[in-house]
Amino acid sequence: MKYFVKKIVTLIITLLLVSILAFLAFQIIPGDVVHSILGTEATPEREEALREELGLDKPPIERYLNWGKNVLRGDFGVSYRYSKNMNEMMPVKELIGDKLPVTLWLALLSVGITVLIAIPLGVLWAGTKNKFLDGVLNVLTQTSMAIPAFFLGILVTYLFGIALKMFSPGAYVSYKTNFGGFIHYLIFPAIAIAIPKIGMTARFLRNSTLTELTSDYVRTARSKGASEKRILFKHVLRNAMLPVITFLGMIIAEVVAGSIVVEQVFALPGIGRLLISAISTRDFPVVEILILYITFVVIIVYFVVDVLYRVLDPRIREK
Amino acid sequence: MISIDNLTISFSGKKAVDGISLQIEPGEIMGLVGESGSGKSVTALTLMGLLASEGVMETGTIDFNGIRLLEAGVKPDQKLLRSFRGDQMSMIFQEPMTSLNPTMKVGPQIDEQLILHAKGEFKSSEERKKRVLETLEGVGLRDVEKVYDSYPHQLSGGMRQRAMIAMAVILHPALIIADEPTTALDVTIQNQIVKLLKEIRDRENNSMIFITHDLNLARRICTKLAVMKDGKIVEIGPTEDIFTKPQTDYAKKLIAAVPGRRNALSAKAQSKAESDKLSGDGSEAGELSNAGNEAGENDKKSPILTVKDLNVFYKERSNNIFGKTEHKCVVKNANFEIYPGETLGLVGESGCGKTSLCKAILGINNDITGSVKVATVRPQMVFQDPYSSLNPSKTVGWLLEEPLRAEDLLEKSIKTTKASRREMAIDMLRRVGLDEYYYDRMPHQLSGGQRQRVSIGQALITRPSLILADEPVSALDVTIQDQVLDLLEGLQEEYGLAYLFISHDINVIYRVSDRIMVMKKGEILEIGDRDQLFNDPKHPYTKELLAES
Repeated sequence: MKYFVKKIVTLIITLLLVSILAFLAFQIIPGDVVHSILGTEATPEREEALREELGLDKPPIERYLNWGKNVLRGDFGVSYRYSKNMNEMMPVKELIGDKLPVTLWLALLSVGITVLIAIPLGVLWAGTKNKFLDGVLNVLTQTSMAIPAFFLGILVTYLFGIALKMFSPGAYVSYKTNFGGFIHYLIFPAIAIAIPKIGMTARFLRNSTLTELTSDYVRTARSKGASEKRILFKHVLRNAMLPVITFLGMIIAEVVAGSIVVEQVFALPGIGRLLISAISTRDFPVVEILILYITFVVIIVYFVVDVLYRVLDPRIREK
Repeated sequence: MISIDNLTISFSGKKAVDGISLQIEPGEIMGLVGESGSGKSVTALTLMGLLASEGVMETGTIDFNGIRLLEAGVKPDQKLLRSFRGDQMSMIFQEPMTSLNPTMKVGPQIDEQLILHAKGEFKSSEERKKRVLETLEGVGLRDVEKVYDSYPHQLSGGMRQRAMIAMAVILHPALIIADEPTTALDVTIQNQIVKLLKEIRDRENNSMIFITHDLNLARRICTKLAVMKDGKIVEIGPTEDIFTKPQTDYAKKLIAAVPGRRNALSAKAQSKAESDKLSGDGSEAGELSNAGNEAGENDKKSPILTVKDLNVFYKERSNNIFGKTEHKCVVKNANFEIYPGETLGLVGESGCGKTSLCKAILGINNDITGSVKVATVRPQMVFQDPYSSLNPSKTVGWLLEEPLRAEDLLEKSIKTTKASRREMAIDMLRRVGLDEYYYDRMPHQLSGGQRQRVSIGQALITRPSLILADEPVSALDVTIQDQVLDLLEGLQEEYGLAYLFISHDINVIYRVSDRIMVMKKGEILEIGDRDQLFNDPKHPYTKELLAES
């Protein structure tokens, strides 16, 4: 119980600090929202009016407090940049709410692919005595980690889209209209994201398994007459997974925050792309909420990692 | 009967075991003794078929009750070996914490033996559990249901080793190999484990191989001894024969190096008797220049260390960020003095507060009440593990000079320059029995004994009159132990040093101490002259401790 209270307090303090930092950053970086919305042709009166409408004429502290009050009430404000139609401003909530499922599904799929392939691969790799297989896996994982994300995106598009015709590149299907088609399309960008992560995770798991295999308890298991296979799966895997869990947590936190490059290559309307455009247009309400979202997700993922670690390692559980 | 014939094992061309032959009869406890690297463990692991893949069996055969397990040049039958391991022969390792799987409950780890070798004999997992619980009871554990469901870290060291033993004996193997099974345990626990192993042998008439570097221990448990050196068995015979009339030079040297009361009249005791005679009459007035170690005259000198009503605390951080940090008292109401030139031996189990006491004396831990008065420059410490306590990236010379660079630790009269520091370091190297050329060596190029010499030099170079030695020989082989103790005694005489000497080994304590202090759970139970304390211990805990050596 104490543990959870502590975690929640940490979460709140972190979010508070991050929101202040993000707000301050927007005060410092050059560029004026009003200019960027109205363009250079606007009259000073028009600018003044917009400034007032957006509340930008008030002092920064007051603006921050107002914004904070609204966020706590669940009102995230409106985007400076996007609008629903000619007369209506676009609420940030709707804007992000639209794009969030894309990123979350993409993250889920890519992490799923990573775990499903990397873990058996890592164990197989550690267990193999075949020098050739070891060499092949070494080169493959090394390469997968070295290829830049955009190029990998293009390769996947070419291989699965153009050569194998398993999907039509660029023809994104919205989850609102056709969920099956949406998932089908997402699988391919998910593969592009997963490939380097598979390389890293498998490598990491292999190394930690090999380290575990030299430990004393493995010698004990051998002295009991356990077979190598039994030792690997019954004794070593759980211990070897411990460091890998932390590593997977970092990967998850990274993908959930949006894979900007891959979203761009596959023309996905996810939050990675939204974040880039919002920053370049000084769309402060959107950026601030996105930063909070990413912070929140990262902390929650690490919290889950922590809990998982406790489940797997009885020694941590009691501390 | 287990028979090893002409066994030779080499690692990348270097012979680790060199043509040894051994026969072990049922009911026999065969002790393999010798220094580290003498091939004891390699022999045992080979017998189990667990030789590392880098090891090559060059010659020899191993037969187990008439069945050929291993033969040089023949690919080992892993399936046969696996069926023997655990079932016919089992092994108990040194470190029960790391030798058990940390993420698996103890019960299932023992149950694995039954699953692997005797699954057919049991109808259900409940029946197997019953058998495991019985075995746990058989190795002297109480509350066995709870032990069954505990993870290794939840048990004490002694309980873990008992669980390991339960795992080794559950299938009543014909051979049990125990590789330093008590080295990682406290003295009181050590004895219980040794007793337990003997009981098991008496009950089941198994053969045992007992590997140890501790000859006192070997003498207590083994029926036969094989003394190993450089991969060869130099002498083999009934234990008492080897102790009373060793034939070879090496065995003689080894037996002579054993610290113990039996061969007590050590050089130190003799020299002390002589110096007592010399200074006994006449010069009562001022023998201060002769900084000898007359324990009898302590009352006339002022103590070099006075500890009064000392309580040492340490903070335990609570998990909650808002929670109070808890104050734990680890040394309670300690009162004692150390006089110039004397050695105060400190014994006690691990976790009894020995190290906390040292930290308080050194001033590393200021969270104390009461007083610690030191009448010398800052006392220095010699640590147990010379491998990890020397910075691996510095040369020996640098390490020796390091204390001299901290000028505020020195007496004001000592001013150092780069050249004088070098001179002092080289001088110190000689004093601790190392050649000058070690000045430019790195710690990893030295042996354990040499490293401990460097640690001692490091402690001495600021010329303190008090040294705190925390298990300074526990990590060393017997013969090296002997040399290091000789060095410490020699330096004591030369400089009139006082030692607070911590050890869990009663025999070492007996050898070095003038007075002995017994600690348990943070309290000092008893302080007394060595002989008085050994001959007439007052506290029951002291009695228990002494009964074991």
